[in-house]
Amino acid sequence: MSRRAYRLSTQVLEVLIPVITVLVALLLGAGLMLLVHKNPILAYRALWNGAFGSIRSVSETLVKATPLILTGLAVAFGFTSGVFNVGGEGQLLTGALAAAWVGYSIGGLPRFVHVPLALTSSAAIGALWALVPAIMKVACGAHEVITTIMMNWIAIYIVHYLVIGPLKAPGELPATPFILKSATLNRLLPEPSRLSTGILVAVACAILVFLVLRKTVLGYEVRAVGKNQDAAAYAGINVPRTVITSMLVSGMLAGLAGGVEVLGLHRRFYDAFSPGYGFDGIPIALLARNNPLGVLITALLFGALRNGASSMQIIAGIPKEIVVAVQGLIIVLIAGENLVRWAVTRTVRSGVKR
Amino acid sequence: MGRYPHGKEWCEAMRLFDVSLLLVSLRMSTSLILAAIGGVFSERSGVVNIGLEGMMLVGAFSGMLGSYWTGNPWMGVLAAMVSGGLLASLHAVVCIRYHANQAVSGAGMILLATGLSSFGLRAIFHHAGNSPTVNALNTTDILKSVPVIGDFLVLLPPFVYVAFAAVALAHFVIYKTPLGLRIISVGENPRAADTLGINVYAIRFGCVILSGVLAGLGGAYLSLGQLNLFQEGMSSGRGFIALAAVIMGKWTPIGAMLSCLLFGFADALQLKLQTIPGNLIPAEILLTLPYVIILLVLAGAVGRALPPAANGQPYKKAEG
Repeated sequence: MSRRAYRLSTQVLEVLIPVITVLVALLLGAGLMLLVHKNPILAYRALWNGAFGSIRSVSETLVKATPLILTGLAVAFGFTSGVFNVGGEGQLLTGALAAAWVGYSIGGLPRFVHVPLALTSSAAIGALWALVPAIMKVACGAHEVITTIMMNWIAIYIVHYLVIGPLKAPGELPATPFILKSATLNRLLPEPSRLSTGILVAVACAILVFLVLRKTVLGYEVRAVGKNQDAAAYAGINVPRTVITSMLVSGMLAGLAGGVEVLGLHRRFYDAFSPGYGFDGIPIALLARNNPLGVLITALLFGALRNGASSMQIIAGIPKEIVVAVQGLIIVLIAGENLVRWAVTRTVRSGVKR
Repeated sequence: MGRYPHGKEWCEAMRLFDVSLLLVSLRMSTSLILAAIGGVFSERSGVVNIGLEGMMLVGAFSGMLGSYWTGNPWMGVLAAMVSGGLLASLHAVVCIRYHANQAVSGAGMILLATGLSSFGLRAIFHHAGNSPTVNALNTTDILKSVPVIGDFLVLLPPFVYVAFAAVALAHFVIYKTPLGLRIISVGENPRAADTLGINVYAIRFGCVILSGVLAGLGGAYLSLGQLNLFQEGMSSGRGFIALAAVIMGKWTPIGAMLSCLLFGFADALQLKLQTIPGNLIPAEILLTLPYVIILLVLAGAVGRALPPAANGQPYKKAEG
């Protein structure tokens, strides 16, 4: 086999594996539906229509995808340096609350100052929330999965307390006051579309992360540490500092996800507004193989799944929680990607002359 | 009351520590202990099992379901153990046979369990949040005849006694049997164990599945022992607390048990503190107490304790 053909075939394989993983997961989801006597074909058709069937659905899919792009980037950036940031949820919540607070409590600012200020604060608080696990990982060898999950729970409780107490708006809802108009991210399309310029922020971040990883020294160091810590250290890279920086950036992106949701979509912080966006970032990053541009695609996929699932529930009567199970399955299958790789190469090899 | 120099506050504090606190502590530790023992086995053989939380959740759900369908809570317990084992076997296959990143697979387990249990709740019962109530095992009636402390022992569900028995059994197996030695060696140096003819894959498989069975049992305690129904997301982080207990207990069954008791006590204390009049700390902040403790533990303890040397690394048999 020529060298070019080999390289091409491995590249094709790399794209094929995530695709097959998703298909297998969807197939197993169909099996689950059959188990409860529902029609999977009807279900998936409703899912598709719900996600892409009209301008309105496409807009809503993009709305759902916006925070997912950012949390996916967060997890992907962490993974690139070998760090598993499961704390996206906590970083998102604290970042969102920070953005909301800056949004409603600081008046008299022009929009081009207020919006960046609010977004920056959400990113900063998100990074702060990742700081403790980062330092603990480097200083004590504490496994970042456990520490970030602990920070998640702590965030959930603290944010909940703040939102029903000191930061609560007058009224019944457990939510902050609405943010001032000067802090909102504009809507992109006319009513009833909920799509805001937040999606542009998300896409810009994806491009930015891609450039940082490929074209900057920091990006090089991050990738090197992720591939082989010892080799990176031998090459003179400050591994602990790189790991901490990587986790902080990851926290920043997740915090930004929260900020974008508050400023663009909800215009306030209300309790438990995130249905697990932070965790969704994990399969999104894994499927995209930590490629920031790939994250755009996989985040769109998951946005479509989330959006279409509501239609699927209404039309086909299938609880939308099945999407969560499918996501879990995707993670497991991607983790065991060698399984998929083995299956695919087995099938392919039997047809290719060597 | 006038005897004590600090008067009222001191008495209020002392009233915290009574029999009910002990009972509640034991109750809160039970599911932790069961999952932690499972975690000890899995990690000792070299496989990190972050998915314990998920296995607990499916255990809680299947336990409720088994009791609902048959009317017999013991069938629920069986169902819980089987479902935990099944989920663990998926983790085992993917991690051991296909060399998956164990942390990622574990995270996937949790999502899968969350999705399946929530989906099952809605698809089968057409209801969100809580399941209907089922026959449960809240008390251990057969112990009523025990002299003196019988009335006290009855108050605790059978799971509590099973948990402590599991600790004793685990300690015996790991430290006093050849099997235990093999498990330890597989976790420390699988290649050396392999050259001695020990089946590394089989031992790891067995330990991971056992951890799933025990975690499932711990989950069954939640829905059949502590309550008599299933609530969505019932496990609420207990699987992670169990994992932290394993680390804190330096990967030993007794150490893990003591750590779980500490967490159970912290939980019970936090509940009690919420009821004191004049307590200024908001309930939500108190709820963060167990998680903060774990962070402190991980900051301090891990530096002193060493995990099994090959923990978290997939073992690849050499070719040829």
